[in-house]
Amino acid sequence: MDIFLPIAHMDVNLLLILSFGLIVGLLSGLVGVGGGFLITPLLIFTGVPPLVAVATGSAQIVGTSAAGSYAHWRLGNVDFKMAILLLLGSWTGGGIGVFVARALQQSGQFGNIVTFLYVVLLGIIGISMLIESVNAIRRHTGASTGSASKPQDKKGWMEKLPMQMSFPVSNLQLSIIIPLVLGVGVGVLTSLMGVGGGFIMVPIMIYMLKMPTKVVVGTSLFQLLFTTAVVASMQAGINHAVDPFLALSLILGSVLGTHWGTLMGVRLPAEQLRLVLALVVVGVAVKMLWGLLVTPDQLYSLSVLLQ
Amino acid sequence: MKYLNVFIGLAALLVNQAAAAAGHSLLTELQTEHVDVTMTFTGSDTLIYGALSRPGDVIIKVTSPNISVDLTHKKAIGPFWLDSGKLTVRHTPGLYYLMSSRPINKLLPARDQLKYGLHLQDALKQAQVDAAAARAMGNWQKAFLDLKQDTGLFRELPHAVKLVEKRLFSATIELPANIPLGTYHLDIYLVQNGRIISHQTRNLEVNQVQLEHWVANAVNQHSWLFGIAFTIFALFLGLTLGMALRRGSDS
Repeated sequence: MDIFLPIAHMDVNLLLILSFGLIVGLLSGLVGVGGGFLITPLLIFTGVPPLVAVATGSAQIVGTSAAGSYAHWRLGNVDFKMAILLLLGSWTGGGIGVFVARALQQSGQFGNIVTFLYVVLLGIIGISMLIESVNAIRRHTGASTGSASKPQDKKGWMEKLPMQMSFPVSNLQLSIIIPLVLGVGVGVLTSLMGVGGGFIMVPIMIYMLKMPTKVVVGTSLFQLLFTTAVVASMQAGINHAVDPFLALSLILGSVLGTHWGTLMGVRLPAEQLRLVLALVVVGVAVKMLWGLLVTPDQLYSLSVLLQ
Repeated sequence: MKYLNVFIGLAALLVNQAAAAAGHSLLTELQTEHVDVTMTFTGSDTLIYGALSRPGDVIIKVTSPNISVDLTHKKAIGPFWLDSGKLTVRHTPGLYYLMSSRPINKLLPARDQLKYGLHLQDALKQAQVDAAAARAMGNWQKAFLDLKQDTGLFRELPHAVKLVEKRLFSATIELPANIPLGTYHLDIYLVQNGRIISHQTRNLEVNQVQLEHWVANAVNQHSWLFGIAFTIFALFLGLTLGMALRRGSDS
């Protein structure tokens, strides 16, 4: 079952792409994280040009996170004031990132930068998940979400920032600089890596900003949906790098996968699942690092220019 | 396949008679003049056949439209192998096949081979590169030709043209999936005693059709409109699918 991808300009096995979506969706449904940071490396391993993989990855997240965002919005779990400020930041960051991606692509450095970013990012996420899940299994306490109600000790410097604003939904007082800066960072990552950025956003919101966990999940999903939507439009508009057939196959697979994952997750032990995901993430990081360290068979490579 | 062979035989016979009648020494026919790149395109085989009024050997050169490609070079920087340097090579055929009934260097003297572009390196005749970037690349011509041959876009096929009694010929042009689009030029040469005694040209149109054409057009010509419309479509597809699944499992 091969299909010809008009933008990546290659033929791929449709079932392979569907199963990428399915597996990553399954993992994210089981564990409750977005899977953007696994889709892009898998596409690059398949031979999709890095810029097309990153741009198509962000379009895939739009489709995958839409239903979840809607559900949380209906439940009232979105802090809109916070989300709008985050979005103002992430749209700016995303816009900058798209142009940076174009400049890097033109100078031939995009592949290097993406690989390095992924090795570092997946390395950090994977190892910290690994440590956390091993500890959790050792303690064998059952609860894996961690305690959100620690005493407020690290908030000192944040309170000194100007432009404080109150966020009634999250029940906190915060300088608007913080969500704006956080948004810019996440937006740049979306453009350069094709990820939603939930894995950075969620811990910062929970541990640094002390937002209630329920609101964190809804707000970060809402914000990453509209960040990836704008970044995907810009990647298509400026870099012509979103492959529609690839994106649709991934969305189909991952929506199904997420759904089944969520159903199965209720019955499966959470710590062991986190361990599996941690091992997958570390594995992908190691494979990417290996690609940088091992002497390549071919020192030269050819690529057809994107129009 | 058997049917096809009979068909070729008959067609060639007719062509041969017509050739003799018209006084041409070489007549050719293509199985099709259009290769359609559809969504399920994984390459295609096109048959070319014909008749020779005088016995000889046949050379077929297939040239696609010129394209631009990026050649990147990996270098060891510290412990890492990184893409360092990129050379944009403009004005080279995306595909270049040299098919013949015997090795070309046994058929023609070197001067004629050069004149008619019958070496793979002749594909680089019109190439344009940035001189400074090219110097930093080392022997980029060799790298370029090696990669093109590895991916099957440049081919030297010294026995691909089949001759029957030195009067009929046939060859199959095998095109892979990732070929450039546009008008392909086929040059068919009849060679006798170390000289080209007849030359015919044919065109083969390779184009995206149907959905594939429409999509490629939208992505490249109306990129913003496509980007925004596709993103909205992806959003609603995900939403509808996700909600349908949820409702399905609730009931």
